[in-house]
Amino acid sequence: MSELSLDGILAHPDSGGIDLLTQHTTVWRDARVELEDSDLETVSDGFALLLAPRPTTSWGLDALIRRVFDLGITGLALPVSVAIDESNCALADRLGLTLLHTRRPTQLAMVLWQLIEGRDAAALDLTRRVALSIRYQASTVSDLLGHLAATLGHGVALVDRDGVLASGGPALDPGLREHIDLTRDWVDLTSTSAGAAASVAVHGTMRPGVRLVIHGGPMSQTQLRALGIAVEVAMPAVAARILIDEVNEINDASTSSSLLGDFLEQGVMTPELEQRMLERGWRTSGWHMAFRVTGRTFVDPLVILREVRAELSSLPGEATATVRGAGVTGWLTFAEQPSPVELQRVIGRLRRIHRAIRAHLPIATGVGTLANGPAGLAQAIGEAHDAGQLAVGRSESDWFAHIDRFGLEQLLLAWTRSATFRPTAESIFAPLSEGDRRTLQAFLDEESSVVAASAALGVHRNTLAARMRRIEEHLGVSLTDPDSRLAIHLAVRALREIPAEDPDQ
Amino acid sequence: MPWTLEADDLDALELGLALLGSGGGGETSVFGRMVRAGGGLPRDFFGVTELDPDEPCLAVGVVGSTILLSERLPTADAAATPIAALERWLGEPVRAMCGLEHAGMNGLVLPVLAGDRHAIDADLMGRALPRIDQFSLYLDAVPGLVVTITTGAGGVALLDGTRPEDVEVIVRHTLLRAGGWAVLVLGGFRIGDLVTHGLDGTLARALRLGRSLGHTGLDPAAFADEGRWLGITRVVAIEVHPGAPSVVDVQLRSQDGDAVRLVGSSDFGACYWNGERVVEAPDIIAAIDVWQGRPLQLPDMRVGQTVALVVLDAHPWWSAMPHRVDQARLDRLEETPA
Repeated sequence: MSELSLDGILAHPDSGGIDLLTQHTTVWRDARVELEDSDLETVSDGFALLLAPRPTTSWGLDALIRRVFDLGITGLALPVSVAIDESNCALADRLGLTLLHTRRPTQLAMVLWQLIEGRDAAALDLTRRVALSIRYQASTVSDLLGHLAATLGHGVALVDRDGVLASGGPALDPGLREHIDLTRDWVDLTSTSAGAAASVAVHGTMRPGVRLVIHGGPMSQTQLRALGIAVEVAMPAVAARILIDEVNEINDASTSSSLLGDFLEQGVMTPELEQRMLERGWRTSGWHMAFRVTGRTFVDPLVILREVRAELSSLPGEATATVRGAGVTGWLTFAEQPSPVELQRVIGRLRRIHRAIRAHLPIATGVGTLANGPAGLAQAIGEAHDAGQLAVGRSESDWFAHIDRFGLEQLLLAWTRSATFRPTAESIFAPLSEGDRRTLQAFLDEESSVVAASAALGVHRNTLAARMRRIEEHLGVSLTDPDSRLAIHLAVRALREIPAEDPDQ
Repeated sequence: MPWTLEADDLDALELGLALLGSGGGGETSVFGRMVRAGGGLPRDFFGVTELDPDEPCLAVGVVGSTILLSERLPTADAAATPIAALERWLGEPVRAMCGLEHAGMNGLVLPVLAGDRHAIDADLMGRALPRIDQFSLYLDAVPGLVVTITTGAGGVALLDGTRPEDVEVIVRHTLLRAGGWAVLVLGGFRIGDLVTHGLDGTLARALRLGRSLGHTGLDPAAFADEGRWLGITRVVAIEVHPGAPSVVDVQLRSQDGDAVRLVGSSDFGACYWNGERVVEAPDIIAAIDVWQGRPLQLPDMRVGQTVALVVLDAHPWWSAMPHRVDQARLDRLEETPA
């Protein structure tokens, strides 16, 4: 016979409606369910649930608590119809008796039976619930996990070493997740003070090391073992669902990939092609900006596509991405021409997405220019592909390339033309002599290379280095800081390219 | 040999009567002032065997609300009319008088009301109990008992041979008409009946207990001969039983954290110590205010009071026959329907 624990009672999804009035003993060797205390026999370390205790007075209940305690009962559950006052609780405290109030005594009786006598019954019950949750059509894995969580009454999650991939029900406690053995071949049972979890390796997915976890609060070993069986039973359904999702994904990617191929290869927009593109939600009118993500070594394009698609929602406009060749091609469509500032923000976002994916996949990203209409879309994609190829070789720019020289200059000029910028630039450079300004400009134009700048100015590189130190001191900035360097560079350009209105200057 | 109650004994007697009141019986102060003012002392008290057993006897006391008694004060001749009615009905003068309950204020009725009759140190309860049908003469079913009771405005009701449970109900109704309290006189028995059906020596016991408490203060050992010391407790809650508004549940905690309850209606009927019923009526429970050194009446109990709980053994009459004890037990309170 297994032990009964307070945690186990409280963690059981069906024992709801329990108020813990006093807490002392938390583990019992035996549980008894009787109508009233006169039916109880002497036990040691027992838990008793009385369904219809007789006392209607507080002092009568005192006497009952004492009688029950004298029989060796150290945990007592009474229906809420029995009023328990503070002195009853004080007595239970004095005796060291754990006292519970239950709103559903018969339900609790069944839970006790499951926990102490019917280990298999608990597993069977959970298995039945798993079957029940599979019965309902799930549209995605998350949907299926949600169904499982709702019918099991426990949290359900898919985890790997990076964290939780998908989940249903209550969130998995991070401390508990750390204790789950991800390397275990089959079932792992984990129990901490924060809770307990049963997990099993999900076989047959593209992503290795994924585990299905069913988790809850602290519980008895009996419950945890039952949970282990439930997770075993649920795993094939979840694995199958993941496989279906993956097949759908591949299907979808191959359809859209061939459509993109048709569009790029035909060169001309036929009504049939336009219809197919519209059906996929691809708009050829408007302004387009394309990007291309490829692996620097071999990376499954579907894996890249999954990662890119997960990030697309953070981009403005209509974002589309599909597999093309060995990489992923995507584009953003804007109804109106975006302003240079908006464009810059979009590129910034693309760069962030690139960095996020690059953190765990060896990829390179290229971004093309802005182009208009169906022809523009083809051109933008072409540029993105070129940029993508360039990016593969550019480790110094973090394998990110943006082909938009013209656009950048426009952006720069648009920004430096603002009424406030030139006075600001003037004030920044006020401490510098004309010579210092020329030195600074040459240094920045030569990509902060002391050697190249000293050659351009015809001075020794030590001289240049000394001047640069002085200039930095005067400006109060460090040119090694990329933000400061950009600001100073812009200011230098603004003063050079836009003549001041003052005729003396 | 009769013993004599002196005026100097009055303080100790009042203290002892309060102890025997078991949290009920009413404050002795009203009758105490009447005794001091009326000069009813010194007075001789006879034992039940010291007078002619064939002499008729009557028992006198006040029934009803002890609180209302202190607002509508009795007079020294309050018992004259019901006694006269009883004598007229019996057809003979009654020359001996005992008490209904020698506990609480009724312990002082003999010095106030006995007049020139023989006062017998005997009563029908040996403590305070809530009901008329708990009189010893009724519990032993002594035949021929007659009750007279004042009904207000000089009127008297007389109940002859009425069943005890009926007397109980009729007296309750009479009290409503009489203004909350009434003088009750029970007659129709002889002094000899008190030997087996009365509780002798309760007044002497009260005096002894009162002297002991007055002299030694709260000394656990002082109660060793008469009962036992339960412990010092603090009142944490006082609640009225939801099913029976007359039943009060006083919740206390001992210095060690034990959960203690005093339960009763007009007096303490039982004490539960950690869920164990350690005392029940007819044994007497006294809750003595530790700071004042005085037994507390149930209505005077307040949250926060520190009280010493003392058990005083019931008069041996109660345990002499098994049927008697059952009638005094609190169990009947628990049976009160919700």
